Amino acid sequence: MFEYRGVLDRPAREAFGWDGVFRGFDQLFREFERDAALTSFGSVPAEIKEEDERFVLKLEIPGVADKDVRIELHDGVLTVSAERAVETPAGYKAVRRERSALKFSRSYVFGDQVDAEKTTAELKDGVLTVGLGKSQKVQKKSIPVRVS
Amino acid sequence: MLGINKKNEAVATANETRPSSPSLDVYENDGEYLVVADLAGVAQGTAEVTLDHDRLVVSASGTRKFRRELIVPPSVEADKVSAEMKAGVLSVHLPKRAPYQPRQIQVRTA
Repeated sequence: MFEYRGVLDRPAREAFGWDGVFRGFDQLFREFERDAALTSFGSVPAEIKEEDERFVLKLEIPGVADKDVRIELHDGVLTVSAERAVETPAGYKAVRRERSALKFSRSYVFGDQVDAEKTTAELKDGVLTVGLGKSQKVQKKSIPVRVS
Repeated sequence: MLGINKKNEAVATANETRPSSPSLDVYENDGEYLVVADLAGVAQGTAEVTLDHDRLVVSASGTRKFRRELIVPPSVEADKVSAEMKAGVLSVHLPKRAPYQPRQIQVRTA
């Protein structure tokens, strides 16, 4: 009786996808390794651009809440700090983890090139954009040439 | 010499257009798989998620291009896959089909 069940079991499992589920686990989220992962730990991609009237700093900080971002401009030194935790959502277990928790503080020295009064900051779609207005000192001035 | 230069140029161009591979987490519970991907700079509603048989493709372009492909288990119920985007983080819910349960059939006496 026991033997009979055993023989019947195997094809039945396959037919109903039972084995398939386990095969699925083996290849679970196997990737096409064509693109190497560019995971950055601890640091985040950043970019600074200079425009006519301001410097623009962009930092990629996906998943960071507004309240976890700190921006300070003190004596011409801009300091940006941010953090995020990556936790397994309640009721789930982790199968694969690549996203890293973030906690960083970065400083940029602008000296007297920037005017603290003209600083703006915006966090949108996981990108923090800080605009630093240039001080009068460094702004290009066009000097009209008078024809005498 | 010229040949080498040309080759280098081609590599440079390819690198520029090649999408980044976003970091992602995969979580699981009895009901579903949950894929969470960092897509900084991708605006709400512009990320693309497609499921073709067992191949899940996440792609998006914002400040830069992202693309990643995953093989999902056959137990995923394709019709019920959903995705949402928040603060540059994409979450894709992949519900599992109800697991196969052996059924006991009662044999009645005629």
